Amino acid sequence: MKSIRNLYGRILLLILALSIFTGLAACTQPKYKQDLLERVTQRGKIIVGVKYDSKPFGYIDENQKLQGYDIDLVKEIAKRILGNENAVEFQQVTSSSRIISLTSGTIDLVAATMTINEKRKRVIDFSSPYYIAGQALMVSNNSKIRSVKDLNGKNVIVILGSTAEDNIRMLAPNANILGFRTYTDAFSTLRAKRADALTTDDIIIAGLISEDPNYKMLKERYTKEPYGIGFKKGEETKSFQEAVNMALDSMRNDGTLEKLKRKWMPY
Amino acid sequence: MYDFDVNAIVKALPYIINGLKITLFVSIISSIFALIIGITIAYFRSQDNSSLKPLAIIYVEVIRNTPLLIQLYLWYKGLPNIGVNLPAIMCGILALSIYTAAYISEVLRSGINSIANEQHEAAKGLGLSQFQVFTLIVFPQAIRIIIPPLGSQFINLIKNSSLVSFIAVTDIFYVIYRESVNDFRFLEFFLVGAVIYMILTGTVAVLTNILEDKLKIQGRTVKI
Repeated sequence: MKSIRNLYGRILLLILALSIFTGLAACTQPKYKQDLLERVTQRGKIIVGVKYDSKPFGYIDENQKLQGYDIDLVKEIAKRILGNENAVEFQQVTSSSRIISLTSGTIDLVAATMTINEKRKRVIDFSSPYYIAGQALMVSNNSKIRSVKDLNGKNVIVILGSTAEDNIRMLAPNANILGFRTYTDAFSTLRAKRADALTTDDIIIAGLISEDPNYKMLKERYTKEPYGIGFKKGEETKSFQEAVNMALDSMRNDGTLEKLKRKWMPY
Repeated sequence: MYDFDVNAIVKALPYIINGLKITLFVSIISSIFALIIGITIAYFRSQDNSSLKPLAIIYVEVIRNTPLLIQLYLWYKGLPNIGVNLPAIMCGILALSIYTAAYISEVLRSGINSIANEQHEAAKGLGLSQFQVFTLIVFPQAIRIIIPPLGSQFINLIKNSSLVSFIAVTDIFYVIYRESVNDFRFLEFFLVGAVIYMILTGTVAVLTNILEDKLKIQGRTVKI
């Protein structure tokens, strides 16, 4: 009995090993790779991964149209590289799928609220930052709280499991922190006047505010989360990356990025 | 093999102890209130000609047939809508004691019903008032019978107290949840949490058994 089980185990292992090796071989097989910029120009459009559920960066509006900061950004890039702002094909990605979609080559670039960090830089390349997100405070319109300094002794809502809690403990050590499990739970507690402020990333607050105009976001940001456009690593994407970075630079210099920010994040 | 990280627990120990204090505080205060309210409700329900009897029935059925979490949210998030702003911990204690009191009164009622009707009549025949019949004759006998199910109600109360973490009361469950999502050490923290709750409820179970034994012996000597 035991030997039979051993045999099965060995065969399974062999199959597994073989499939891994052939898989690896397929990956490392030297084949001619066309330069991405050339391919994009030939194709006449850029294939882009964006989010469909992250208001105001990438979302489907009431008319079933894809809208948002990232969408406008990519259209502007297409205009500057290919001369046509509609030369873009959008594909939906999520936070967990965006990197694999890039590395597998199904999309040319990702513009999906992705923070540039070291861990991701090992797997993909990033453009220069196009937007700086950060942790912010949300208060009711008639609140007297003007900055994080006013929080001492106040009730502040955080989402458990986010970095926001550690940050706020450091910045306002005497604030009374209430932790909740979900954003809806947290926001409804703020609405029930159980707390004086809620703190999380500014783009999430922007989404919450768009549902309830009785609340506002304070100008101050006390962490920096630079968003970057993601590219697949490799020689063949280098010239495409350069082109996108040049487009971004010119958009930064002529005020287009600022205009986009004012359009989508006027808080 | 899963690498069980004891260090994560040790590091969080001060928070866990603080959480334990809150859980103990909430549970003990709620137990006392629940017992008082429960006895009151059971008393009015046992009085056939009392005008408060229907109210007692409504109380038990409404409270027993709605989830504790909904009641908790009503206290915490509902009341502020009509201008009543109780502190979170007080909402927790109120919800827990009112909820458990409904069950306790039912347990008491079953004990009261088990006392033979002849005893009521005999007591009344001796000239005792209705209140005296309850406090001197019925209740002392009923409580002896219902000690085990009563103990279960207090055990349930301790376990239910973990729900106050939903309204940001920093009890043991809140601490365990927060630390586990910050550390991604779910197995460690939730196992420790289970053990802590087991120690708390186990203590109640042991106390219940001791109390049951003590009252039983007295009962027998009286009976002979």
